[in-house]
Amino acid sequence: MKTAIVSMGLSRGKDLESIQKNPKFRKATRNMMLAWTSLQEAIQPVAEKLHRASDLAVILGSGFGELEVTKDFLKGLAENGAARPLLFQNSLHNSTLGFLATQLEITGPCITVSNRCFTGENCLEWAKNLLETEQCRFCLVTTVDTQVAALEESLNQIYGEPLALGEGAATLLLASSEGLRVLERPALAWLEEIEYEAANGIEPEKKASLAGHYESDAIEKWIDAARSRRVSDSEVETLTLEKPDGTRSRIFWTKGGE
Amino acid sequence: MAASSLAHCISGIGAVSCVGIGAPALWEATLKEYSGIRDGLGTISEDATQELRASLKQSSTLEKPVLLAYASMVEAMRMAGWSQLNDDDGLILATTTGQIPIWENEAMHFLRGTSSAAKLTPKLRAQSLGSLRTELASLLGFRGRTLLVSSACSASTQALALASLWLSQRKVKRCLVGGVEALCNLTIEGFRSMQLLTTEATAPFDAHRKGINLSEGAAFICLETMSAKNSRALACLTGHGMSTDGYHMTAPHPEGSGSLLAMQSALRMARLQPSDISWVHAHGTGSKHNDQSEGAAIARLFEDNEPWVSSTKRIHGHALGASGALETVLCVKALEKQVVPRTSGLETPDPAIPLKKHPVANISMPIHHVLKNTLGFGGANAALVLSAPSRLA
Repeated sequence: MKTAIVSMGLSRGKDLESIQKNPKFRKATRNMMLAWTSLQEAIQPVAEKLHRASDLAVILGSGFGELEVTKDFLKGLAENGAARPLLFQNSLHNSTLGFLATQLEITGPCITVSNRCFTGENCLEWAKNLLETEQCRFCLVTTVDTQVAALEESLNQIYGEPLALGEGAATLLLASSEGLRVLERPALAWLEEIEYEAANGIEPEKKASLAGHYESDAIEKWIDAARSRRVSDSEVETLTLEKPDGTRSRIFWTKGGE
Repeated sequence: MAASSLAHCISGIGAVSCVGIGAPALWEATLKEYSGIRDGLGTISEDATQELRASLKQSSTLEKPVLLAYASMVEAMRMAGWSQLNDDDGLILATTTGQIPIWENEAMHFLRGTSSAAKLTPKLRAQSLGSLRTELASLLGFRGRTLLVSSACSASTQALALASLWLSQRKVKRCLVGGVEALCNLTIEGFRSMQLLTTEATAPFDAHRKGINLSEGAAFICLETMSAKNSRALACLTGHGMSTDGYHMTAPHPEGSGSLLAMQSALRMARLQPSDISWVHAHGTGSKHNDQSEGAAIARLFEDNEPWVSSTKRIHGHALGASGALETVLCVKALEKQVVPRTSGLETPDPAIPLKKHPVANISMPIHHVLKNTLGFGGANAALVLSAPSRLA
């Protein structure tokens, strides 16, 4: 069974100005807004056909999750013993997906995964698995990570050198062959395989060259690669991503079409 | 009716909970209604953690979440006769907060200005949930496929469903799957701020229920493909379903619409009718909204064929991301022992919840198929069908 990549979306912090003014996002976190913006770009071409589709799944990946909000919750608790319910409901790794699912009224499977620098690859792998096993006909894969300014010094030390971690979100809409027919669109590409090596040891993130990047950014890197490369009919294209611990992942795809 | 032949075999189970170390301790406590809840929380005592450290070699420095998970993994693997995980096996973990007890206190000191970034740094390494996966894989010497699921309270139920998919696709030969949760300020104070906790022992589905008992624990399950030569099957995972409410960030759908979808999917995959189910092990947290919503969903699914429905949360508490795996261990024991445990703490069934069959005592009876149900924040629902090995088509 083939897995089609139908559409894609990207979001960086600068994209958030308009959304921050929208009352619907009054209680939303930065992760939620970034994820929502990238997701909207990805589904915009097919939004009508996906509305309330029960066979639409969403997989959300994040390395740090809602760390900024967790920090705010713990800060309030530390400083004055106050626990704020809104900060709690927004502070879990699954909160971002809970927000997206509520906004989109998703009824299909929604899964949050986190696997350090392999988070994006895990999301893609599982989207492919869900489609191949007919758990859904459409699957949105969204990855998101944000900067946490208050903890930047410690996070920089963890990564072994002073650097500015990036932030961003990326979304791919995937579909089975049958789903593609429902959407009445050609595939941008066909996702063939995802491979990744097991991480080395328990402290893999050293001397990373991650400046400007984020833990779950494999999807964004694939989008950049797909936009810049011209794939021939017979070719299997490969994106190899070097990880901070010296391991690597590979994403294989072929040219799109009907 | 016999369940789908696409079943996967559960060959080992392991659990550590606030009622003791090991799956047998959890089952005994459930049958005898010995609750591990004290002052509203299900904490694993320092004595128990010391006992675990002593029983597991190389574990003297392990932090609580890793220790609990590792101990239950070892128990499950021993029972299944797995000496190790091979590169073509899989490992799926579920948690909501991972190793947060390691870093949250230091983070609070740092944020209050009473500690330095240098002190926080080594602790904060444990923040990324993936670090739990890396540490456990390293302990097991495992370099194969891994996944960490963090879909709120449905996380480990989803993890079991995903493990089954991996096996179906032959992506892995066997899969060690489960969840772990350790109590922390974030969840205790967070749930308290939402007025969802009670300091009394919880009373699921009771008219006078006052809230949830949070707890900590871990449970792991060895899952493998059924084969003629496989004589180790304790039970079979015959169906699973995942769905989402798409309704609210924390409250479940009032009529349980999402939960109903998950249970229907699980039954469909198992090729069973509602009337084939002997027992529903409900999520049954004891919160007003959860029990109402879940009760409505179960009633809608079974209509006039309602099986026994009970919750065991008063015994072991609500271990959030680990709860689905912990309770799956109880489902396996129920299938093995052919006993349906009653809902401890339930005295006066809530008339607003449309369930009719609450066991007033533990019931010894033929149990062929069990439905395990979970609900979670963000509307994340998951359900499993577990079947006696003798009931496969």
